[in-house]
Amino acid sequence: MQNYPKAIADLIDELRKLPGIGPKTAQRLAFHLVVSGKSSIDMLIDSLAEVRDTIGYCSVCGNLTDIDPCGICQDPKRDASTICVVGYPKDVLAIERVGGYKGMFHVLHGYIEPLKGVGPDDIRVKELLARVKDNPNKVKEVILATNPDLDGETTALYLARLLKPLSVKVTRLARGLPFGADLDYADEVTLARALEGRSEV
Amino acid sequence: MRFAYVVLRDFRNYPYLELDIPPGASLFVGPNAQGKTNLLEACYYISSLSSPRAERESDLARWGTGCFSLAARLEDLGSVTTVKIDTAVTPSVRRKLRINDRRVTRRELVALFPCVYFSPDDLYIVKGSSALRRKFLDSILSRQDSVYAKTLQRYNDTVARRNTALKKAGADSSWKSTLESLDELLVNLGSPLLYRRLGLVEELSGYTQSTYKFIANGNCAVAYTSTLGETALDLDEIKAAFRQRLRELGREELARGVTLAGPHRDDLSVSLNGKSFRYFGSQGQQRSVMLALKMAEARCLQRSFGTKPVLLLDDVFSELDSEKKSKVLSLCDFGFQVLMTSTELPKHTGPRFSLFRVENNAAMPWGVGNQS
Repeated sequence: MQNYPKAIADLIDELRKLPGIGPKTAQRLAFHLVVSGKSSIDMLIDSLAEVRDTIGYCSVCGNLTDIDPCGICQDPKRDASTICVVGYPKDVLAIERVGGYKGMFHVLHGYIEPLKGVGPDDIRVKELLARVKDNPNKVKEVILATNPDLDGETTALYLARLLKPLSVKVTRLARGLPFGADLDYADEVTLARALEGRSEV
Repeated sequence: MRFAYVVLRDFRNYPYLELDIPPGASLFVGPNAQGKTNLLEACYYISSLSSPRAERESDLARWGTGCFSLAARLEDLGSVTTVKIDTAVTPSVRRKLRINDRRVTRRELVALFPCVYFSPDDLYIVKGSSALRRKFLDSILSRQDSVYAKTLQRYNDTVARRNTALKKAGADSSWKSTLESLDELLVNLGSPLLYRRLGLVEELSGYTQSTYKFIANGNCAVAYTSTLGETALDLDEIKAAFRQRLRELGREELARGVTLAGPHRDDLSVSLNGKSFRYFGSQGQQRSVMLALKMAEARCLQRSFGTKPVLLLDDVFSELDSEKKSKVLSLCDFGFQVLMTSTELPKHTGPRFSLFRVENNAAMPWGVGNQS
């Protein structure tokens, strides 16, 4: 049996390490690149190199950025008294898309996941505490915007416990009915949660 | 609610089966491996969209077909409801569900009416491990309330996480603070479970007692034994007791790396004159109390669904002596529809029931069983 030339086999192996890429897709991508010509490969190499050289984590909030501190942390128009804590950089984008939030962010880069052996020391908890402690009069509210699943919940409870003694307001994203939903069709768990977290109008 | 008419297409061994089912008790008689149990399984599936014995939906489709359909006409106090279920099992499970020819969701269909399935394996509820008794309670509560089912799943996930954290905390104390937040989740999820179970057992125990007295003329007692100790039927009190217990167990849990208290370790104790059926009951007594527990399940479901469940007795009947047989049959006089299977005709006298012969993938009416 004829194997691939070593260069192509190596490329397939590298591509397979990417999330969501299986052996077949890796093979397809590799062949596509091989036949796509020198200039498009060069463009890919250039953009990879640029990402490698310019993108890093913001030293304040942990978000991905090409300047340090990042654009959000540097923006004087943003409200530094509120910090929104999220799990991953993509969650920052999700909340920014809403447009209504003008405070700061803090990216944990993961959740406490006992089953995977990820503890509080493995995510950016210390950095968050330092941010709150070092600015005792500045930070007034911490919004815990972790996922509403067990690991997100564990993380939120853990953070709330640490933050409350620092006399800062700790809030959690509301859980409940999606907009445009029909009460009749909502599943009972969501409805129960919504009822629990009802607010005065 | 009762089945008046059912249709099975490509379900298990049946290419096609139509059957009118009379009210009251019906006995399906036939040699082994002719499809008696499959018939009851189909009825159960119509009520709950799950099988009491198959793990996967794909086991239910007749070999080589990849899909099956079930339909039924149900009657309740003069009103008629039709149910149609079309299920494709390959490549993945997809269902089309209709009530009175209107498309409905899974949730609407399973809320229509309950069935209670009596299998010979239910004997292990009495003599098996505590996990089976918890499962017995959980299966009733999950059918009554879908929030319970989801809370239970989240609770079990939390226990798994907490156990991992306990094991890690033994060696690395930085995990201890994570444990505290997991404790809170455990208490918040576990307490409502315990609350619902205590409420259910209170209801179950009265029914079980009276039915056992009727079948076997003895005094049985059913009680919930919690690893949290005795608690009142009050959510806040349960939460407090749960927290207290976790504090007491602190060291031992760290040493063993397992969550030692909570609904996942509780048990249901079933006893006759203060002695556990599990260890002291005779086979006959165990069988009677099992029937009493399942009848109590039927009563509880009847209350929450607001309609009488259909009782499906799979091969349970054959093991009882003639007196108990007639007593179980006379339970149908309380207005339950009862569908039973057996390999042979009962010789004993007792209340009337309709007979069907099941053979070669077909079921035929076979007259009326004798009696009295």
